[in-house]
Amino acid sequence: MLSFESPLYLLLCFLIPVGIWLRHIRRGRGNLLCFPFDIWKESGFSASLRALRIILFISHTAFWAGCTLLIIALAGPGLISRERVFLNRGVDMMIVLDESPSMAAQDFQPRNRFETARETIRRFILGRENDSIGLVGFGYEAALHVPPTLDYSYLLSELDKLHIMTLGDGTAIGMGIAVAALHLKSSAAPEKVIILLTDGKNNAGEIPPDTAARIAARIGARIYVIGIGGRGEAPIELHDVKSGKILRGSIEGGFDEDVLKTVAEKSGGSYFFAGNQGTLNAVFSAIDSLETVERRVRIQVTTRAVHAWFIMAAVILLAADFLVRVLFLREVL
Amino acid sequence: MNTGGSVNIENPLGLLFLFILVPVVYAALRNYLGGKVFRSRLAGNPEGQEDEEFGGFFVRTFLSTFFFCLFLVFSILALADISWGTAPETEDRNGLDVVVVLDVSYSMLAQDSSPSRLEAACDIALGLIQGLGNSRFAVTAFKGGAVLAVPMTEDREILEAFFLNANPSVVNTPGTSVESGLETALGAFPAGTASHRAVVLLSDGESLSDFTGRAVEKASALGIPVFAVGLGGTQGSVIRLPDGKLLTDYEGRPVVTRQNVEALEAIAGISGGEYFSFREPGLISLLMRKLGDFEESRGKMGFRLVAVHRYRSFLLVGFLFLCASILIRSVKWKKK
Repeated sequence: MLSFESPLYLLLCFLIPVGIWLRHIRRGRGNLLCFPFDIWKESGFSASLRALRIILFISHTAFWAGCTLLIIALAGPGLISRERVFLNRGVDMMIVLDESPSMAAQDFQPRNRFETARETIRRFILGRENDSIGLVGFGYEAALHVPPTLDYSYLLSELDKLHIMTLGDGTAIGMGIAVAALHLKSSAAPEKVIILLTDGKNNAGEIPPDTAARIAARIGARIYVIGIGGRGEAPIELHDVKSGKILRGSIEGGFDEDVLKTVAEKSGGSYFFAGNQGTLNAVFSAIDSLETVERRVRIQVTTRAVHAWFIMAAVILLAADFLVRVLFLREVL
Repeated sequence: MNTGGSVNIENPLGLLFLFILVPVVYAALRNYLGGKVFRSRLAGNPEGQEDEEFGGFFVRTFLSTFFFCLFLVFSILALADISWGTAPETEDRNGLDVVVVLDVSYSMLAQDSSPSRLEAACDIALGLIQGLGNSRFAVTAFKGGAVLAVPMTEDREILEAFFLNANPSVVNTPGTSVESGLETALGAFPAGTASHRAVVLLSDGESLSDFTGRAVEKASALGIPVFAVGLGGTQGSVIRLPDGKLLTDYEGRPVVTRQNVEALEAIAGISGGEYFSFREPGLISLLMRKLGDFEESRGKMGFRLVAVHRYRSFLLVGFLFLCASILIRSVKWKKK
């Protein structure tokens, strides 16, 4: 939105009609040469060239447009932008996502578990404000992808880069939780949350899930555990990065619900089962509504000065008018 | 408002518009010479001898053109956005967000800072991260291009891990562009946060790409000071690569690199920050104190000083000259 620093200068626009009258309409204007045709009781002559008149009209229009732009520039035009500035801290969150091969199971049609989880996480992130969110992945090993940050554009770009099996063939749930807890350790946020998404049993890593849950509880982090995937047999299609081959088959057997419930309970969180896309969305909506803190917000208004563009356009228009009149039309009076 | 201080031209490229005066003056001169003949013919006088009436026209044309040229000059000075003096601008922030801009170009492997410029830079960054416990940090690494290596976070683990493993392969683009490093750093401050913002540049200042200063001016406009730490000596040093060989140019001669103190001082000066040499005793404590002072002073005062742009004064004078130019030609001069 355009605003003006000193709008009173816009009153100078009233001078423009006066200027037009003085320069183009007034009978006794200075650049007018009078011939006494009236003693013959005849009218005078006027330029008959239509092209010349059009050029003259364009030139005059450019001149007065330039003057108007100059007055607007004097008024100090600026583009206003409003930004919501949060005055208190939000929740610090770590999303821990299973990247094991079983996440390629296609029981979340039309996508597989991993793609569905990624899309749901994306929507969840876009719905949050002022909460530092980080991302941990785990397969055979666990690794931090993004530390807790408010830079959501960076977080989303890193989320898009995730692939199944980049961290090996296995399910190190405990390690995933432990890595998340480690990176929440130095957080001074009043609320810390870990959201774990997995479809398998812990079968890798040095730290078992219940120990990791205790570590998380010690630093004051709640764990929301989401078990995803159907309970029966599901088709699977996996692109093996190492061999470049596409592997197809079926997978049976899911997560260990008891272990996941224990993890949630030990940290003061909750366990959810998401058997399909709709349930997964509902689970994230539930977590979204559970993890809210009071927000104090200030609207910061910033103005970006744009007078330079107006001055530039005015100078070009006025100089163009001058050159057309003097150089092209050869105005000598 | 403080009206003292140095005069700055915020938009020096605007002065290029002064070239418009060349065709304008040329056209005016050409028109005068041609117009003189035309006017004498119109008055029925011998060639070159103007009528008294037309002499008045000449004076008016001259004055009108002269005032029009003055209008152009003052408008272009307004376009150049000249500023002097400072005025307070409200700044309601608390806490401190720091982006560390790390130069990972090959020149940072020179061993004139112990053990190398890059490792010395990483040690400084680690000291800052440990010392400023309540601040958040982001890291931007640059060579020919820049990457956001760590987003704004208070996670010390990832920050320390980055600086313990930083090397030139963090960025693939060859060359050295301080400009892109600073540009990426300014984008690393997340929107919607109420913290004070500062940039710490760790570099030898050697920039192989064109440095236009746009990023520094942007930082200055946003009230983000750049604290520049210069690494390396000014005498020049060869660059030893990790495999032990010397970095050579295309003719096989060893590349010699030296710290560009002037460039770093300019970056710090324009942005309202400060330059430090890596040889400064107690550098990390000094940097911490400066950053702490910056946060505290802005927090206590609740405002920051910004340059006062004087374009309106120039534009107003220009506008008056334009009015004079119009009036001189439009109002008939009475003969005595």
